[in-house]
Formats: sequence, C-alpha cells, structure tokens
Amino acid sequence: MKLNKTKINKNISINLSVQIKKAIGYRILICFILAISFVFAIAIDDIFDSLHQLELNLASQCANLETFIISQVLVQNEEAIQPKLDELNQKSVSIKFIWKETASAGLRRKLFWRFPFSWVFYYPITNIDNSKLGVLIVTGPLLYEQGMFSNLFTNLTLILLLFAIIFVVLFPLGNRIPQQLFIAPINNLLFLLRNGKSNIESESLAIMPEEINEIREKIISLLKEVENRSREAALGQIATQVAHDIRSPVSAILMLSKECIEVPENQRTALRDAANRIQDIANYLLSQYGNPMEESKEIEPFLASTAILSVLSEKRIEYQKSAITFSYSFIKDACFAFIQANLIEFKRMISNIINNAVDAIAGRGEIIIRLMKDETTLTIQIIDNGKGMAEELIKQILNNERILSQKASGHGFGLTHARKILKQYNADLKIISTLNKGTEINFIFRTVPSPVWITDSIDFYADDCIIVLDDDASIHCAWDGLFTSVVEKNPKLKLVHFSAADKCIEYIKGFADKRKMLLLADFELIKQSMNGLDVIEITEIERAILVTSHYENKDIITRSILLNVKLLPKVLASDVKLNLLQTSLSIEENKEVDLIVLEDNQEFSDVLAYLYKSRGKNITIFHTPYQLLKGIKNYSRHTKICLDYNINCPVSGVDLATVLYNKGYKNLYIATGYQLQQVDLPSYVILLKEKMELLQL
Amino acid sequence: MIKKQQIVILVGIIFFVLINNYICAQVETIKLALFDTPYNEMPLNVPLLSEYEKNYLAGVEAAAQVAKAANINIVYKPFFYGAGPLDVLSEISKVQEWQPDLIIGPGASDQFLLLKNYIFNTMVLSSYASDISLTTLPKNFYSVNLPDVQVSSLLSQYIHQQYPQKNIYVITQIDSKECVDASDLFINSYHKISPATKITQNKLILDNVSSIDSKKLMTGHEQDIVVIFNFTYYGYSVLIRHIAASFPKSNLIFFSNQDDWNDKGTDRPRKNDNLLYQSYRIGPVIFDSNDLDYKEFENAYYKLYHQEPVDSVSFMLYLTVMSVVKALIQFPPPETYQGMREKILYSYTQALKYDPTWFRLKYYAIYQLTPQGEVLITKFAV
Repeated sequence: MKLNKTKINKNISINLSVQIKKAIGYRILICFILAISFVFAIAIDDIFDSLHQLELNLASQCANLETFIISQVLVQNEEAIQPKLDELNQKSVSIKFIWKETASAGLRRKLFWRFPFSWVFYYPITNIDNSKLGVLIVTGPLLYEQGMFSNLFTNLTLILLLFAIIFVVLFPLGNRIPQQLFIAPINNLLFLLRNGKSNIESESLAIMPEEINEIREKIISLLKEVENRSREAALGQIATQVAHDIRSPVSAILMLSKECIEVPENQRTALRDAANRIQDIANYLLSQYGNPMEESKEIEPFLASTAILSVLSEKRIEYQKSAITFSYSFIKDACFAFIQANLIEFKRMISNIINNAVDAIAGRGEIIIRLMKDETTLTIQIIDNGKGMAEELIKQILNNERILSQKASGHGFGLTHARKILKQYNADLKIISTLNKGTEINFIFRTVPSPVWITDSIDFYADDCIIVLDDDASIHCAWDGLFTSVVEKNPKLKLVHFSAADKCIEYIKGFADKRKMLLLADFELIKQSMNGLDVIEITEIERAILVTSHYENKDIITRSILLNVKLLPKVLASDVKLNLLQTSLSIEENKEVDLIVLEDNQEFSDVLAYLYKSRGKNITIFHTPYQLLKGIKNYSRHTKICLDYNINCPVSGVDLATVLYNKGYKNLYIATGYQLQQVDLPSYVILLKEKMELLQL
Repeated sequence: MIKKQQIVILVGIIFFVLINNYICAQVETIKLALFDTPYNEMPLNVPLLSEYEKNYLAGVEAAAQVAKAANINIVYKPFFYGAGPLDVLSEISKVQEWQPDLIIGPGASDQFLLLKNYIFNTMVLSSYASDISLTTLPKNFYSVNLPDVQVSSLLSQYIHQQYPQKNIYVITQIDSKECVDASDLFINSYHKISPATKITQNKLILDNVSSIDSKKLMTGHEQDIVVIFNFTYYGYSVLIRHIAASFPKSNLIFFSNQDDWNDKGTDRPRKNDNLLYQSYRIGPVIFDSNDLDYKEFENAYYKLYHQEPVDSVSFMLYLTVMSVVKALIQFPPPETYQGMREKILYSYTQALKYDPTWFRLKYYAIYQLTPQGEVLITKFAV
C-alpha cells in the first residue's frame, strides 16, 4: 500500500504555487473561520449580556411602575394606572397590565424572546399585603434601546473591522507574497537550470532574497562546473584513448629493453623506468578520466629513495636538453627508509614538483634532491635556484587558499596538489623560498618499518664464498669495489662472479659446503633460460639475496619469501651495509617442541607462549616467514606447526604451509580470525576457527 | 455640734429640691414625630429642599417655644421619607418604633390616606391634606387645612362670577387621587352653579411636562378658563408656562387650587417678565396680621430667629402643633389618663367635638400672579 501511495505521489505532480496556496490559504481560511466563530461567540455573549441588561432595566422600570400601581390601588385611584401605561406606550414598547390575579399565577419575572424580532417581559405585581394584583406585560422590539445594543454593534464592528484588516494583511500570504518570495525565484531557478541562463533582469536581482541569490549563484557556478566537467570528460575520453593506445607501444619498449643487451644496464634500467613512468602516466590518465578501477590506489610501504631515483632518472632524460642539472644526495640511513603512500601518486607528486622547479628556473639552474632521516621521519628536500616564491603565495598554499596566480612562480598548482596528497598520508609540507634565489620544498613523511623481504645489509662470515650472479659486467665491478676493503681484511673471503646462470649453478653444486656460500643474484638474466630465483631454487642454497631492480614486483617478492630470500634494490646496492658475522656457522641440533607457531603479532605471541607453557608444554614462536623457514629445519617433521593466515606479507600462512608440506611437515594448522572454511584450504592443512584453539594442540 | 447657719443652708437645699421636683412634675412632654416629605412640594433641588426642611422645622420650633409657656415640652424628631409613592410606608416602622405621642403626617392627601391602616391610637395631623376622602379616616386623623369641598366651591363661585360666559377646561393630574377628587368636586360644584357651562375635563399624567403637546392639549380650549388640578404649585407653574409658550397671543387664563408654601420655591416668572397669560390661585390667607394665632406665631418666630416669618409652611406647622397644645390646655384630660398619647387623643377629640374646624384657617383668597409677585384679589371668609 505504501509503495502504491509513493507511486501515486510520484505520478501526481502538484504545482508549488497550488501547494503554497493550499497550505497557506487553508490556514488563512481556518483562521478566518475561527475568527468568525470568535466574533459569533462574542456576539452571542454580547446579545445575552444586552438581553440581561435589558431585563434588568425593564425590571427597574417595572419596579417603579409597580410602586405607582400599588400606591394608586392603595388610595383607590386605579383609573390613573392606564393613562400612566398609555404614556409609556407612546414609546416603542408596549406595556399592558392585566388585573386578574390568576393571570400572574405561576408567572415569574422573566424576559422571553418572541420570534423573530421582539421580546416580552412578564412582571407580576404583588400588593403590599402579598395579594396578587396582576401582571405587567411589556413587549418591545429587539432594537428597543439602541444604547443597549450599541456596545454590541460597536464591539462587533470593531472586531469585524480588525479581522477584515488582518484578513487584508494576510490574504497576500496565500498568493502574492509566496509568488514574489518563492515561486517567482524558484521558477527563475528552474528556468536557469533548464536553459542555462537567467530570465531575471538585473534590477530584479537587487530585490531578490539573499538566500535565493546564493542558490542562483551556486547553480550558475555548478552549471559552469558541469560545462567544465563536460569539457574535461571530452578531454578525458581523448586521454583515455591515448592511454590505451600508448600501453601497447610502451609494453613493446619494455620488452625490447630487455632484449637490448648492447645497451648498458643502467641505461636499460633508465629506459625501463621511463617506460614504466609512461605506463604510470597512462594509468593515471585512465584513473583520472577512465575506469577508476584501472589505477591502483593501494597504499603500501615503499622505498622513497628508489621511487625518487626512478623519477629523477626520468627527469634527466626529459630535460636532458635543458641547461638544468639534476643531482641528489641521500644520507645513507635514508636510502632504505620506507614510507607509506600510494607509489604512483608519490611519484607523480615528486615529478610535478620537479617540473615546477624546472619552470621556476626558466634558464640555467640546478635541482637537488636530498633525503634525510631521523628516528621517525624522512624528509625529502627538492631544492631549486629558480625565481623563488612570494611569501603570500606560500601562505596561500599552506593555508589551502585559492591560488590567484599560478603561473607567476611555476609552483602553485603542483604544491597545492602535493599538499592535498601529503595530508592524506599524514605528511607535512614545508616551503622555504627567497625571491630570485630559489625554493626549498620539504616533504616530511613518517617512516614505517621496512618489509621483512627487503634487506639493507649483507651478512657474511670471514670465510664465506660470495657469489655474484649478474649479466651486467658493470655490476660485478661495483660489487668488487664494495667488497675490496672487506676482502683485504679477510683473506679467506672469496668473491666469485658469474654472468651465466648455468655456470653459477654448476659452481654452487660443486661447492663442498653450501652453508659457506652467499649468493647475490640478479633476477633478470638477459637471454638466459632462467632468472636469479630459479638459480636459488635449483641450487637450494641456504643464504641468498636477490639484487634486483624488480624489488617492487609482487610475484618476485612472493617467490623470494617462499625461497627464504631477501631482496636488495639494485639501485641501492652501493649503499648496503656489509656485516661481518663473527660466529662461525655450526651444525645445529634437532630441537623438540610441542608446537611451532608463526605469529606476526608480538603481544599475542607473548600471551600465547605464557598460556601454552603454563600447560607444561614447549612452544616455539616465529614472527616472520624468514625466521620460520630458516629455523624449521632444526625441528622434527612431526612437530605441530600452526601458521597465522595473515602474516602481514605478500604470502599467506597457507602458502607457507605448502612449502612446509613439501619439506615433509605434515601436522600443519592454520589459525585465523578470517571467515575461512576448511574446504578453502589444502587437505593437509587443518583449520582452527579461533586462534586460542591452538592451546589445545 | 451643728451650727445654726449650717442648719439653715441644709433646710434651704431641701426646700429647693422639693420645689424643683414639684415644678418639674408639672411639665409634660410630647414626643412629636414629623412624618412628612419635602419631595411632594419641591423639585429635586437640594438648596430648596433644605430651605423647605428648615422652614418646616422653624414652625415646629416656634410652636415648641410657645408650648413651653404652658409647661408642655415638645420633643420632636423628623421622619422624612423619599419621593416614591410608597416610601411613606417604609418609614412607618421607624415611626412606630420611636413611639411618638403625636404624629404630624404627610401634607399630601394620598399619603395621608395610606396611614389609616398602620397607625392606631395616636393622633395623626396633617397641615395640608384636603381630599374629600379624609372624612372616611378614623377619628385620630385630622387635617388643619380646609377640605377640598369648600375650596372647590369657593373657586367655582369666583370663576363663575368673573367669567360667566367662559367654558371651563379642567386639566387633572390623574395619578393623584387628591387632584382627581378635587377636580371632580370642582366640576360638580360648577355644574350646580352653572349647569349650562361647558366643562371639559382632561386627565393627564404630568410627570414629564416638557413632553406634553401643548397645542394638542389646548385645541379648542384656547378661550376657556383652564383650571389645573395638579399635585404641586411648582408643577403648576411649569405646566402653565409650557402651555403659554405655545399660545403667546392668546392670553390664556389659568386657575389652580394649590397651596403655596413659600415665596421662594415656586419658580415663578421673574418680576420683569411680561406675562403672556393670567394665573390665579385660591389659597388660605396666611400672613394675616389681624389673626391672633399668626401674631403669636410671629412673636415666637421673631424671638427664635430675629426676623419676620416668610414661609407659609412655618406657620402651617406652627398652627398644626399649636392645635394640639391648645386642645390639651382647653380640654384637659381627666387625671386618669397617664400617657400623653391618650391625653392628646382625648383632648383633640374633645376639641373637634367642640369645633369640627378646629384650628382651620378662617380666610381664603384669590391670588393673581403678576410680574411683581402674587397679588390678593379677593378674600373669602370660610
């Protein structure tokens, strides 16, 4: 029924003017009816009051007449009574005196209305000895005494006049005032919405209500925005088309860059990064104008240094013909600092700011990018020696005010955009600028812990054999340079280089003690049938680091984790810390525990350990997959292993369970708070619905 | 030892007390209730009403002064009532409560007649009541005024003498029985004298003179002798001026049987007015210096107020009170009568037996109203 009613209401459109007329008109009508009722009530009251007054007056006059009659009766001069009555009858009233005693029997002093316009008043007269003399019957018209009813007429006239004035004042509420205040402006707004232009003359605007004017201006503004949006949509269509069109050529460039072995790797990397940036730009265009799902808005930890270097490489190529030099200076600790943001947005922001800096320089100049780190923050400084920014503009940017002149310094829009992005990631913006000297833009991000799969150091023993697998000769030189001083100090330390994967595998397999080998493998081995991870997997080497430019690639990361291999961004290889481990490798004995747990939450782990041990059982808890995969080999294949499903990694507990199962571990459990079902898991994994269930294991 | 001188003083004191007691024992007191109203005579004008009351009481005072000489102490108390026709009845209980020995009742015959059912065994006198019905009252009611029978007879004789050819037009205030009776007496009397004379009577309510249509009232009677029987002389004056104003050239002739209680309150025309009518009144000759009673009154009044009496009401009241004093002196009651009320009843009854017109005035006159005041035209011995 309700639905039907709604449908009916939707189908019946009622004009606003009619609605206002109905709503207000009915109320005025009700008020008018109430007023009339009020007047009627007052009139009735006044009539009764007047009649009461009339009755009192008549009683008073009849009392005098009664005295007269009695006195005349007492002196036996009854003949005077009729002339006296006749004299009174000359007026508008008629007075009769009926002598008969019976006439007054049962009668009492009372005024009666005689339909339609007269009244009759009975006044019984009793002699002084209480004998009935008769009755005075007075009749008269309702308007007998004008004075008596004048109050009534005056009151009624005044009240009616008052109501008439009120009605005259209120009547326009039903039509003219709503027409003037609401309907006409709303019709104008409708006209404006339908036709995109106003039909109001400029003089009328001045007298239009402020609120309506505000709505009108807002509509005009929105219409303009819609127009702009339409234009942007058209532009977006073109941009989307362009983005789609350039994706294929870019992919081709990426593929070709892998094949161009003649090109040095640093140049290949730059070429790949540039192609990736083009891909990013295409993605950005798609995100801005195309399907919003096409651009990842994922917020994730990433290395700010590598992201900046990637953009910087691109800019160097972009502006290679300009007289602007690009340089960077990263404090060592800052190289491996992770921040949390959307990588694409971050790169775009840096790119924009560098573009702004280029615009600000206009001719010859220098752009320096610095990275500084303290305990909790990472500061990205982009310094140019351009024309600088006015203090007012800086203030406008920092206060998020509308920037009136964006082109004057070249920084306006980029910084406004940057400020918006920084706000999303709880980062700060600081601008130091001097006109005609230059600008220093500071982005201050909160650092986040490094992902477990990234390493910022290479741990080795003094008698290790460090194998470098890379198809780029220059990288081998770089590693030699890095390890020179270490090798000199540790004569037993060997550094072996391979460009071909198969030779590397052969070498590793032929090495007597694999535990004394550390493989630094490149992922991408041009024109070889396998990559670095394949080599690691085949050789089953225990200690390996994947030194690659693909450190952001999810597949590579996942596979690396499962192979117990950490990643070192190749671009930061020169900044990696070399840790000489003092303790020599020893054969660890097998350990026996009741339960092994992989749980990334430290606090929960502590509670779990306490509760489990309180039951007289032994438990070992690992917090990362690397700890688990490194340590598991010391435990019996029958040991119960419970894995957290979500371990804050690209790999899940189930992925790790598969690895462990392949290694021969059969008592595998998955504990999670997620809505997993047993059927979703491999058959060799048992699902614990609640994490606390593992206390029963 | 009592001294001789002291014994003489003591005997003197005892003698004085005994003599004083003897003298006091001889003085008799009359409780006199003055039961009347000024409203019958006067318009509702406070100064005039006060003047009437003052002159009314002056007559009583003068009589009391004279009565002292006869060892009669008169103690009086006014019981003045309102203008309503029955107001007199509401005051009766107060009068009775005071238990007077003598009541001087209303001057108006209608009100005087009302008392017959309420007052018994007390002498009730009136100074002015004259209605023929007074003869029907009990013996304790008496008026010192001449009855209307005689006044009407005198008036009809005079008019017929003066205007034998004129028709008579009688205007009667119908709501006054006294007026109705008097007018009837006059018409009867006139018919007896001149049966051929056309007499027309018009009985009216004269409450509101200004509302009377004079032209209509006088249509066909402009040449008649207009005899007006109304309640007060004040009302008469107002009425004739109202009528005359409509007939400035007709020289209307009016007669009235009204008593006149003074020279001040009748609202007469000013002395320099040229009267457009003739107005005559029949009334007692009051200020008659040849009359012994009047002389006695005049002396007493002068002793009290050091001026000549000017108002007839003073003398009429004096005369009424003195009628009792004289009756007590002339017809003393037997010693068995202890109460003054009984004594008065006895003495007055005896006096009336002796003279049924006891203390009534002996002379009446026709007075004409002139610009200079009233002028006595003819005097009658009753």
